[in-house]
Amino acid sequence: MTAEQPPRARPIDDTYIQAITRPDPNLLWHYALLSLMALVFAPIVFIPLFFKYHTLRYKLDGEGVSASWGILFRREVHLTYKRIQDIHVKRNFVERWLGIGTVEVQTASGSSSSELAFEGMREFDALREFLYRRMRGHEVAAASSANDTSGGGAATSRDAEIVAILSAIQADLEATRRAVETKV
Amino acid sequence: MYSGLKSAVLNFLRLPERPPDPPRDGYQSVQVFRASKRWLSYRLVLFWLGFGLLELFAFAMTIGSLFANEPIATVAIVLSAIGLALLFAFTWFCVRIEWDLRTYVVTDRSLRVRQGVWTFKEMTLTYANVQNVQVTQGPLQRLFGIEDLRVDTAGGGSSGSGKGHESTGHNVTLAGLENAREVRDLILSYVKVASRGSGLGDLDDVDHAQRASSFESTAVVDALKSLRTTTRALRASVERRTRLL
Repeated sequence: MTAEQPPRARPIDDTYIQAITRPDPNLLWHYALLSLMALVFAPIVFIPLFFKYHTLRYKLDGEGVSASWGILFRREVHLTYKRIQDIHVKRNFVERWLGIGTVEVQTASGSSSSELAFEGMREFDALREFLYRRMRGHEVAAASSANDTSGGGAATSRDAEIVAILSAIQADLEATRRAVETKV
Repeated sequence: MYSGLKSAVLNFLRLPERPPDPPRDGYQSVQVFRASKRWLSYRLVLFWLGFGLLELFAFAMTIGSLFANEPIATVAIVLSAIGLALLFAFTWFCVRIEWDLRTYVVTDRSLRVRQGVWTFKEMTLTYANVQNVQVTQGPLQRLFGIEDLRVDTAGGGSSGSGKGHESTGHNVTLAGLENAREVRDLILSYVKVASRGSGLGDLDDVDHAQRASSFESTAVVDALKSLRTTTRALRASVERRTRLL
């Protein structure tokens, strides 16, 4: 049980975050201390948490994130980055002492509890930035300021097309008129 | 004295002393808002109002036993007075340290709210996901001249109405603001820019908006006008010809 940062072999970048598959070992201590609050029922509370820790797997790929855990009752949660609405970092007293944090991810669902929680994250700050750069609305905000200045090249080419078609119609009608007028 | 005690407690609770950084996304402007100083008094009053009834009862009991001329009553009164003073100081400290941590960071791209002493929370959201913004004020808050600003994102199940200053699930609350309306207008102006796409759908809807606006361009209107001129002339000449026949 150490709160100190272990010596890091690699810098924390996107590939470092994407390589995360397991929570920090200190999460087990967090679970143990959490279940102590149940006093005499502590073992009953701790056993499922113990198995949750050992089966907990995270996956961060190009499209979205997923988490799975459980032995008797298995659970798998998948969600895409584009559906992430809010990102919450939660750290209670015990987690702060253990140097870990929980990154919760919210989508537009009916429950107020988070849809996916990355428990036992040592790099919770970097993970939050990683998710933030991919969440819903981040790219639009980045693009909208760029669009305002450039005006959009696609729109002008579409305009030119419409103008060309309309001019052709006009030419056709003009010819028809001439034909109708000269025949008599 | 407070600041020394504060940093000791923050250190023991492993809480950060620095204010939160906004998300590193190349934001253009950043404004940091904090709860009003009056929010401290508001929360203390709220606490003592809740506690007061209980205290009044205990006080009446001791006064009653004083009149019954029991020597133990004097000791009880002194002890309860000391207890009350300690409780007052402790409550003040808790409220104050909570106030110190509570920070609202508003950039032009995102909103980040930090709160919580025991469970430390930092919530981040982008404006594209904001569904509505509410300003609420209770009678006591009105007395103190503060307001809560609640920013909702899509999704239900939040019990946000239960505790006014707590952010839950799908909303964040900027509690105890003196200038809630200004902050609301600021956030709404960012929301307006960010919500060019439609509600909850895919954000490529922005492309549709651009396509629709391109029809208003003058080249298209000019072409349509000349088309109208030709068709009018055609109609007139055909009409003249049928009248002659």
